[in-house]
Amino acid sequence: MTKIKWLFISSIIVLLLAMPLLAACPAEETTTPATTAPPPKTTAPPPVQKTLSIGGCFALTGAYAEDMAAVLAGFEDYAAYVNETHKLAPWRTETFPEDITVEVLWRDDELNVEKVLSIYEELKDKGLLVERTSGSPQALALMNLLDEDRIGATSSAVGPYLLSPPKTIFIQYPVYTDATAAIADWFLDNWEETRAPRVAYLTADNAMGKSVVIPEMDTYLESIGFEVVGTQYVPLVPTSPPTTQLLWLKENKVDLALGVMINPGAQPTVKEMVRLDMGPNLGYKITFGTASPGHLWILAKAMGELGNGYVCAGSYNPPEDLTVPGVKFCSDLQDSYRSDRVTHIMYQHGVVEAMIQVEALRLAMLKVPIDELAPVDVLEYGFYMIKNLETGGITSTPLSFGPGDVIGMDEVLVQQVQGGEAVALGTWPLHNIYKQE
Amino acid sequence: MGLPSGTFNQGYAQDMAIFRTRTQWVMLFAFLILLFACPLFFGDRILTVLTIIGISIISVHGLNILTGYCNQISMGHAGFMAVGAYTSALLTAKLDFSFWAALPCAALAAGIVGIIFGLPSLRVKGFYLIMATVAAHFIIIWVILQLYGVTGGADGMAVPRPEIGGFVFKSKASYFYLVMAIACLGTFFAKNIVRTRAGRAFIAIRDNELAAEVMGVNLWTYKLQAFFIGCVYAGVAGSLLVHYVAFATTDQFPFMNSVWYLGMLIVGGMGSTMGVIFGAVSLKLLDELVTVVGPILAAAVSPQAASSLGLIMRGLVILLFLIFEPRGLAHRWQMVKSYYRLWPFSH
Amino acid sequence: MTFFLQLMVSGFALGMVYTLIAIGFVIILKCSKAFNIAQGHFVMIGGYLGFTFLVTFHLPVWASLLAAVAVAIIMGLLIERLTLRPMVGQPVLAVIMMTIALSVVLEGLATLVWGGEYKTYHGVLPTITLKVGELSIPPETLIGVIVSIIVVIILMLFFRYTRSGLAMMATAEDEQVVQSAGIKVTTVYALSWVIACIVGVIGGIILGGVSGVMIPLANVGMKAFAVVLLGGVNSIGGAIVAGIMLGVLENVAAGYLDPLLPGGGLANVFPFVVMIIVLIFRPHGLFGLVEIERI
Repeated sequence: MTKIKWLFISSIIVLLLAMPLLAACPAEETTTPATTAPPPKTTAPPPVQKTLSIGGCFALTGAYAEDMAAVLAGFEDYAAYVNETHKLAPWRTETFPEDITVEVLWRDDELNVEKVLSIYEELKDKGLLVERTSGSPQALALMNLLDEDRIGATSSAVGPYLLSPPKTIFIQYPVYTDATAAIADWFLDNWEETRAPRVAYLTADNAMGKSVVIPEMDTYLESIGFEVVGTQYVPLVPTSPPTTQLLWLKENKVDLALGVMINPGAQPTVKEMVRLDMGPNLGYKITFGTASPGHLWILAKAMGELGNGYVCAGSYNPPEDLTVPGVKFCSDLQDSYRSDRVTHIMYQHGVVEAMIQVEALRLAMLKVPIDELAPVDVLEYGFYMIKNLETGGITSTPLSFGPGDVIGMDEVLVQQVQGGEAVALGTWPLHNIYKQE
Repeated sequence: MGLPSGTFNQGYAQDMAIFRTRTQWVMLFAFLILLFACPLFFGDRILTVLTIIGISIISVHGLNILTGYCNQISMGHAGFMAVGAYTSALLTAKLDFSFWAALPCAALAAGIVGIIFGLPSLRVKGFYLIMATVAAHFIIIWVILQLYGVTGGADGMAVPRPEIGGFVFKSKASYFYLVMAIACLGTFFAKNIVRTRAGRAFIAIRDNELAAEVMGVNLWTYKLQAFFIGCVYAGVAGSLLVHYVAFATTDQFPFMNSVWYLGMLIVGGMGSTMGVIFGAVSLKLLDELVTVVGPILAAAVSPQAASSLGLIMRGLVILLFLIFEPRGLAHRWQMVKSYYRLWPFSH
Repeated sequence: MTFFLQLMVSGFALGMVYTLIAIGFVIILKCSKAFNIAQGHFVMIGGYLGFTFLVTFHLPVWASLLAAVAVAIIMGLLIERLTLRPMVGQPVLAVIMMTIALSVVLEGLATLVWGGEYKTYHGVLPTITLKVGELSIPPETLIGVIVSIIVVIILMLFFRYTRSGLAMMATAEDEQVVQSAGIKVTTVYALSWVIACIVGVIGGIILGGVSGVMIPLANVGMKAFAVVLLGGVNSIGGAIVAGIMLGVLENVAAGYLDPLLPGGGLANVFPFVVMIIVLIFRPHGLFGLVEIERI
């Protein structure tokens, strides 16, 4: 016992000594590239290889772990693609400077705000000229800091808080309120009865889910002819089927349920709906629609015919649909740079986010030489200058940003599960429902 | 505790002194000077880490008084921090209070909420009290989310930075000074609170509640006092945290933070002011280590291994400390000190 | 009226699952005086084990159950020997922190092994559809109810009629007397952890079939604590009654009060409100023993 004890104590002492060393001199370990990409050809003598970093905070631990791992894979593969071909995408003619290597710099923030703060400073110190946030907690924490430091960022969390007022986080799919409003528009276009349709919110019980339940949303829904009934919350990850909530919808004769959910919430909800004979094609007619993190394709794959009628706005295309150039590009990227395929749909998101960051850096370099490049240049000459960035159909429309315009698109793709498959219904315009102060 | 050989206490004042010898005074001042010179040597990154460590130290001091000295185990400390945070956020953002007026109000509000949720402690202890404080955390967060009109609910609210005579604590260095100054004051008070009548009563309650009551310690007042003091510290820490981020959300106070604060106490050593500092510093540095090692491990092994690393490491550190070093780093520090003093004669 | 009855029925079904989880907790507490915060994590691991055996290995349901129970036994033995044995005789906080550290490590291991992904196995478990008039009972939860009842009956028989069961009851009564009667207390401790693990894993497989598995599934343990406190920490019967009560109350409260509140989400805090009320007014719960303290 005493032997173990001393072993333990000495290991702690070693650890304690090692910790400040490792934490304090992070500069050394930049030599270990964090990418799985083939090593950059730094040995070639004449052109001096310079590196530019993309990336930021990824919450690889926590509720969004699975999604973020796929996003990170997208980042890494896209960086590898740019380094090898010096092209930006197969459908684009512009090239990326040959003497610059793109590397992915990332840290796992575990969805913890305190960790995000120190990671943010660390990455800034290391010369990361852009940033990304993975979930609402980080986005909320970094929003003001990013704005003060004038650093442009991409994000996979798209709450309405990003718009009040618009800061420097740029997003590639609409905020949840606009996405759900698009579903309401679609629903109304197909509404045949004469009475006013009744709508209720059925949404996740967290910041993301609650972000659609705002007075402005009520006003909009009422203005286009809906009758707003009320709200029901489902835990982000429910441990029992949301029978109570669904019965409440039935009791209140709701025709359309809107919300934001992630798959662990949406799948049991849809399943329970079918069991209670609720659905667009079932005994009790109701349509259930959610904004993008519901990822229609995942639901369709997991639930098959059971998921028929579920609507989702802002979701990406199915990874098998190789007729879409962007999807084909993602598939090719995986073939070239990845041994075990990432099947998660957020891989596409990662590729597009990396594309935006690289494009911002490229545009900024047209104005400012790489050695003098500062984050503010990347923001002002990069992000703000991105106009009609073609993503090969991964996002609903090409992306355009500008000062005060942080949402990249004006339309959103609405999809529905039909016959166990994700089917596109078309695109609907965004209404910018959330008031921009 | 042992004094260097040849030093004898010759009066009450000397007996009670925390810093007894000249060397101790010199070391104290050297430490303070080094601490406050940090911004000269370090970049924003290290200063951020140090600032967050400072905030944790303030918070854990409160928990130490409550749990380490009075044995009223609280697992809702992050919730009490949220009370302080939102009080000061609302006062400064909505009612235009200055930070300096809002900070005491935040402390007071957290203290009062602490007393309310401390009421069950009069009837229950141990696990039951833990559950009561866990419930406190979730109820507090729920209430904050309910008050959408005031707190901005899940969307959070913007908070102004502290200001004094036109000078805004915006840079990392200035905020570092603010936090460290309060952390030093907090440490000073924490060390002395436990030496007062109340502090001795806390210790009596910790060691044996019934015996303490028989001796004439009023459990009712002293337990609630412990809750009040502990939560006042939490309120100050919470307020400092939101003013640092300049934004308040409930996500800044996740339930697991309460657990890690207790973990800091375990690692540092319960019922020791020094232990609080050791614990907060070592667990936060462990966090940093995990963050830095993560990407390297992901490249070498797999991203999954990297993302589980943080959890497993922290869990194991607490687990191993509980088994092999239940009295924490502070105890080990004492042993090292006495070993140094007595060397080469080990007794 | 149908709405109300339906709330009651789904509340009852939900309550039975809570009960199942709470029982594991009570058994450990009774025998070894340890408060096991990691009980919810056993449930989460159980859900993942269910996924692995049912979907990855395509085993039939009975074989998956047996395999999961086997893993649970090994897990229980390892956990008891490595982490809880050194904690015998330590203060309450140390033991609780140990189980918390354990829960964090289990979470890390789940991330390591299963990637923390959301896994589902809808429609793999057998279902029974039962409709009484307008009321319909969720099929998976019905399975849950049946399994819970079976497990509870088995446990009750075990405690009443088998040697080891009696030894466990005796240990709960007085450790020192039991030791002098020649019963090895450490074996009893190990047994209690094994049973808790088995119960948790079975609960996890049921829940996994209902809503899928993800790391936050472990939070269900939190609700089980409310059940335990309401029922009285050392009463299995209390856990059953309290589980059902809480399940029903939670559902009814969410059904009627949620639409009235702007922020909603009452179902999630409801157990905690119950917890506080119980702790203030009846700390030993409905059926628990009042502890008498001596100096």
